[in-house]
Amino acid sequence: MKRILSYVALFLSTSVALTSCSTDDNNNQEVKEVLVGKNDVTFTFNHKMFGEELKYNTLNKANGNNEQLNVTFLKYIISNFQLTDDKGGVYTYPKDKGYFFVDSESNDFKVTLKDVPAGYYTKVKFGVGVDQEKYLRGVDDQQEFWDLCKKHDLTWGWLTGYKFINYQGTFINGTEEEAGFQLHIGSHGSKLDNYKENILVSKEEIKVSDKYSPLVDLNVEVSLLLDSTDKIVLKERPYIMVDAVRAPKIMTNATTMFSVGKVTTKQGL
Amino acid sequence: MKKLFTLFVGTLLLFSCSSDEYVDLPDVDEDDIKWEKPSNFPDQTYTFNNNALKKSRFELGKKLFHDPRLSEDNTISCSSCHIKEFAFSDAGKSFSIGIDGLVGKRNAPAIQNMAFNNEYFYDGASNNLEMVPIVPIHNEIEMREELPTILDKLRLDIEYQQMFKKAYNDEKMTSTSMLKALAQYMTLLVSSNSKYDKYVRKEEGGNLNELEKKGLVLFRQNCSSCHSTDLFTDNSFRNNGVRVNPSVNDKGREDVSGEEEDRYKFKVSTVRNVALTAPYMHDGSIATLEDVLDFYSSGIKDSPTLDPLLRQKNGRVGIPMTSEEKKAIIAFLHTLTDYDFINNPKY
Repeated sequence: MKRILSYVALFLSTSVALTSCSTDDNNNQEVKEVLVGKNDVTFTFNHKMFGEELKYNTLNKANGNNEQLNVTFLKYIISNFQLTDDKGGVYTYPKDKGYFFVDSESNDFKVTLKDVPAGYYTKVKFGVGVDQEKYLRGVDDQQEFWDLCKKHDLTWGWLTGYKFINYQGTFINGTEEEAGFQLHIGSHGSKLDNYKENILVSKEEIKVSDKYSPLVDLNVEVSLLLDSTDKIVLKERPYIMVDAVRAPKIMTNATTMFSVGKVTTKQGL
Repeated sequence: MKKLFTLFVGTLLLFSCSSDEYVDLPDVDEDDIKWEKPSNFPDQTYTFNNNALKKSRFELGKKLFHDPRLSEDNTISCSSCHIKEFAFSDAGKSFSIGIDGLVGKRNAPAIQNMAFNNEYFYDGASNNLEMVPIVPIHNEIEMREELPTILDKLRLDIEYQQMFKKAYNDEKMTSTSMLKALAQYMTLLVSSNSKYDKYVRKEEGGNLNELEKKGLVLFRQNCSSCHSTDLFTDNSFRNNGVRVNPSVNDKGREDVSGEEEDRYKFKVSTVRNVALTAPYMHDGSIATLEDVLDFYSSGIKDSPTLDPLLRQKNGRVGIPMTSEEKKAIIAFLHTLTDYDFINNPKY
């Protein structure tokens, strides 16, 4: 307990130092607690629709395409995490463990990176989908993940590829009748690689050490999937499976959905 | 530890010796199979990474290939539609019969020389040989089964338990090992001993008669832009002008790429063993080789994505051939039948 208190004191003094100094960064870093060891980093996916918690089977307000969506299913694949620390050092999560699916139905879906080396991380990078390199490595590398994705309807039956995003529900365009929509987005064989990555900046440092195992909130603004960099009007095509024009746009939109929210550093001894 | 030391010394030897001496290193494992590329073939594309050729793996793959437990109701195996005597195609059927008697929508292609290919199926649905079996297994009208369920069935079989252990030291019996073994079986289905092969390699039994030789020349002039190299395919996707069956409306490559430019394009099939693999085309719509050549000379249906190579300078479509020329080409095509392949007891 005494030890913890001393850490708290150290942390507080570091914070004070951080806020009081403004010009010389190097001095600040010297005051920072030296972090050693490794620990888990857990991301909690908070899915939102226009800033509110995403609820299935609920009609949302109209998006910029004048379409109201009622979501019944949204799962997707994320992969290839990279964390960048305050000194610019990059930690790449091992590829053989680096593929995850995310289910938006429960609002606290968690993805845990194991044994991340100590550091003050400020940037999080990951991909949406599965890169070709992994795919071409053969079954060695991916069989368990394939089976998992198959179970969650994130694989194509007639194509040996992953659905990076599977998004389903109904929509109302303007005053028209409600109709179904279904988006299965992935890479198109060898022809079109739709895997895309993004880099998120965390306002708070993600502190990892043998004593600190942070919880990171990842906010996912689902409305951006169809209404972001590119506008995807469902009325024009409500069933998007293998679409060389729309699929890459939806993937680009997908990379804009994520932002880092609150970082909670719990003591994980 | 001793093993590790041997391996270490072996590695040192590898670095210190020239490549000639490497061949003389004693065979450490009787289970190993040496990959032999036919001298008239281009390089293989399958890398054998983490799946070095072993007899035990081939045998496991062979057993799996012939095992109906890979289907939901234990009635359909890979070999149900890929029959050795027909160069692993489906015995004269246009469309194969899958689970519950359901009929497929594409002609079962011959399985041969898969290690030299890098995209599979008529539309390129897979670019990884180890993932290929997933397509028919998952397909609702072919085998309609799930990988974990298959393994649950196989785990009850003591013979499989031993074979997985021997092949991949895999006592858990994972689908990874299953798919690797199937890939290994397919890579060793190499057809390279037809009369034509012996002719180009100047081996015994490689005598082509005059008609066959004339056919070979005509084939090289008229057909080898697409049916190229001694694999007899350039592995590309093309629209060769087969009439669209309206009840299926199979869009081919577009299904995978999502691009209109790929509409009605299908993988160029090899013409190896072509005399054994009737009926022809992705939909099995053409019954005989004579009909195939008549189709290419006068039956091609024009459409926006028709392959440019099938357009003549005068604006007409097709490949002009006289009936004499067709006879010669067909005589040549018969020299591509590989009896060693279809009679090989190993398969």
